[in-house]
Amino acid sequence: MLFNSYEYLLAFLPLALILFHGLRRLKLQRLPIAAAVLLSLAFYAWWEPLNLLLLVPLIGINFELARRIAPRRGRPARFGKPLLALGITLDLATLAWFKYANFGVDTFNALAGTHVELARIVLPIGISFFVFQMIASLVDAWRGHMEHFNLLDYALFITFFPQLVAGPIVHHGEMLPQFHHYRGVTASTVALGVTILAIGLAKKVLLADSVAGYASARFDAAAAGQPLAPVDAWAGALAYTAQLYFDFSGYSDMAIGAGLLFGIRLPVNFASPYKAESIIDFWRRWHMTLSRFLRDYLYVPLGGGRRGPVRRHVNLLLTMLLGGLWHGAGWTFVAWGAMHGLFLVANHAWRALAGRHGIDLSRHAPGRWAAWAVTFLAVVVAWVFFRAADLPTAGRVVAAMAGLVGMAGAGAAAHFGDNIEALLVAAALLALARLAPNTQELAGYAGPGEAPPAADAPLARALRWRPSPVWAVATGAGLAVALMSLSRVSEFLYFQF
Amino acid sequence: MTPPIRYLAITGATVLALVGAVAALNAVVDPFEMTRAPARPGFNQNKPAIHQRVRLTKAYDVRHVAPGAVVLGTSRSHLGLRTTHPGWHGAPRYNLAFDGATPREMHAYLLHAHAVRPLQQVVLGLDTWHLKHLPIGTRPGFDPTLLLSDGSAASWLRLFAADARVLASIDTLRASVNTLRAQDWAQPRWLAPDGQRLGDAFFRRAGEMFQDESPRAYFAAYDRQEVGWRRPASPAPGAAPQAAGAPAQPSAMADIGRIVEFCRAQGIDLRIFITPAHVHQMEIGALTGEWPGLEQAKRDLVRMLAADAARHPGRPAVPLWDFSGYSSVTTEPMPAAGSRDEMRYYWDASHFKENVGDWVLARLFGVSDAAAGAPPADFGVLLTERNVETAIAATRAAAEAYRKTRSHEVAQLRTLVDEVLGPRP
Repeated sequence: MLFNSYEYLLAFLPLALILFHGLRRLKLQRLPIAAAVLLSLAFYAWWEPLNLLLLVPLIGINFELARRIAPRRGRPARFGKPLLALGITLDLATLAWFKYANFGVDTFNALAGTHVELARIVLPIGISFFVFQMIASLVDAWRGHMEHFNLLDYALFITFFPQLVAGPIVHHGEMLPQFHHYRGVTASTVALGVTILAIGLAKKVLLADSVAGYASARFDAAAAGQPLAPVDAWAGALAYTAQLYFDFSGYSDMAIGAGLLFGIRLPVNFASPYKAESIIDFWRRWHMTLSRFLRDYLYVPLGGGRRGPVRRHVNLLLTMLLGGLWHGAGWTFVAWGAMHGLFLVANHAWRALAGRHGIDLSRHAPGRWAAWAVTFLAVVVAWVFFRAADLPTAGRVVAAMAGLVGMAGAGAAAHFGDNIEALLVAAALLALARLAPNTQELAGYAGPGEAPPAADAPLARALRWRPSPVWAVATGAGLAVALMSLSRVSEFLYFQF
Repeated sequence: MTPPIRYLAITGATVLALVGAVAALNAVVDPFEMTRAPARPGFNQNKPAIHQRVRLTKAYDVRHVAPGAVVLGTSRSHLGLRTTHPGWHGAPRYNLAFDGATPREMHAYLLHAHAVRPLQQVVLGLDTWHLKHLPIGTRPGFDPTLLLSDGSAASWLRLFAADARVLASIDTLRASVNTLRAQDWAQPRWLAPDGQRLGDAFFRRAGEMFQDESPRAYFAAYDRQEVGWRRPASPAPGAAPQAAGAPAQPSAMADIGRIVEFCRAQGIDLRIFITPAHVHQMEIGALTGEWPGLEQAKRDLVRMLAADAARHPGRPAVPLWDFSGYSSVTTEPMPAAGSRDEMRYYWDASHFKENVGDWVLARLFGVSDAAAGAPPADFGVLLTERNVETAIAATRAAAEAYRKTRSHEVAQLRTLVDEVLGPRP
């Protein structure tokens, strides 16, 4: 069930809220949490009921392992480490089988010239997200950082439907206490939740979907081998850059909004990434919960930056390569991850160099704009690899962007007028992403344990959400237009990961 | 009332007010003839949207007309088959064919029409591109939620939910606004109340190549377009690839089989024909290597219908008429280059005129329309298990003869195919 569907917005979500809050009002202590688990499982089963045969046992096994490997009274658990290794192996093997087995076999066949056959394996939706959450909780349980061991709470931490299939990737430390000491919900929280959900839906339906066609037409043309003129390629790349941000951040906003309707705060996942003035900054703003996971459970355990600059660069590259592969079993994602790894290495090297020579671009507006432009350009080029059907397609698009394909030789995929329209729409959306306050700045929302966003900019201060009639009409109008634009349902891009 | 409660109330009221206003406007303007609101001259009488959204309009038309007999097929049947032919039984009759209809879509519309009112007769027009053992699926404009799958309450409930969605949608609002703005440039309505597309109105509109340039120029341009459609397909914009391991989709032939089974189970008089496209279509098919697959599919279809007949002894077999061969109709010469002459039987290489449609129905029903007269003797062959091989051999022989007598025309087609598709093995 997609968030941007009538089934979800007009049936499942309202019914789930009525059931959850109805049970809560009856003062039935744990029943609302149990109901939320069942609702979440039903939500998951909507896609493919058989997937429950994977999800439910994984929850049970991971919970039991986490409980057993947690230190007791300061002493390490018996067989803690082997059980931790067993759990992580099980989780990674599950992910590897469902997500990477076909990719591995295809790659082997291509390299070895063999024809090893493996049945096509269906990827259970959301597996990349919930497996990461399970691994994190295992590691933290072993470290003694997990405090609550309640199966119901744990099950809801993994399955809570607003975040189950495409994040944000939540951490047990921020979710289990909210379930364990559930405090209910106020009208003010519900009002904020409705607002954020409406913003997310509008981002997805009115913004991302409006630019999606421009990107798809050009990338599909490139995939079919049609030559692109530079203007085609730029229009496609910029349109996709806008589409992906509004699609995924819209999805995350809808997840946060839905969470608030239950009185649960989910972590913020985007903080205006296209305002970033360096790649390091970009990764603090883009898919923040993934960055947090990769940092805490991959980069830091690899040694992080503690073993010198060379090792740091190797760790960064490795982390981003695996981060790329996490997004999809394909060489385009590996290339995308590698590019970002190299960008990060270059960024760290530049920082060290600039520091030694006392250069600080952030002190002057032109310097900041230059830093922003370089960062944005790098991000756009990398998105081409992320979006393209395969590496040759990505190569063709990037070559066209670089002007290596002349206008004369290119059978432009679109008419000139359409390119102008695509560029204008993409530019308008990207300007919005670059200049306007983001959702949490507008709404004054903070995730669990997060500091409330500052509203320093006059625009953000002026627009800051309050339960006023003006905001209510704007929210209602946005919600109505978005709802009435749902007649052509399209999937959220991040579902494929 | 606390501020947050007041906020939620205003938000909810705004949503309801806007959705209600849009739905009310759409219901009154009725751009898709969904509500059958009165058509007022100068306000909403001219409805361009029904021409652009034929799948949607026909889904609603079926509910209003509640036909007892329908035509299923593509634009060829949509244009060429009249529902006034004397051979029909079952009333009212409705031409439920539409552009590019796939067998899966036809099956869905068949179920829809039968759920609205039990059908007595169905004429199914198949194009040669339908005869494939590959999935053809559905087109982007196809919306299964607008169709009944059966007459159950659940199916009707789903339909009413879809009605609400269409009524309160921005897409429909856009169509309503366009309708209101389109009253001053009304064009002749080419979608008849019985669902037929009226070729005389459609092709003679200003801006149509048939009208503005010449029938000959349009015929040639259509040939080029037909060849272009044979380019290897690239994924539809935004289309997600089929999930790895997802169940295989039924083939087009299997979808045709489902239509046959449904009609048989419901006691519907089904008559099938392969459409009489101009032989340029067959020649393009020959140049692109489609013939072996087509011939095999004809054999398989005949076998499928024979097996169906064997399972239902004592009941009439479902007839399959093949009009795709080389007949005096389908080999009609193109008008001379530079002339503005019209062809007698064709709008273009794909779409036959109503006079040909009348002869098709005469063969299918065994009754000739008085005005159209009897079809030419070489037009159409009733395919059976006994004659299918002979018919295929006859088509091959007729094709050879055609290529000799019209070598110049065939050479032009070969050049066109090479030009559009590039060198082929």
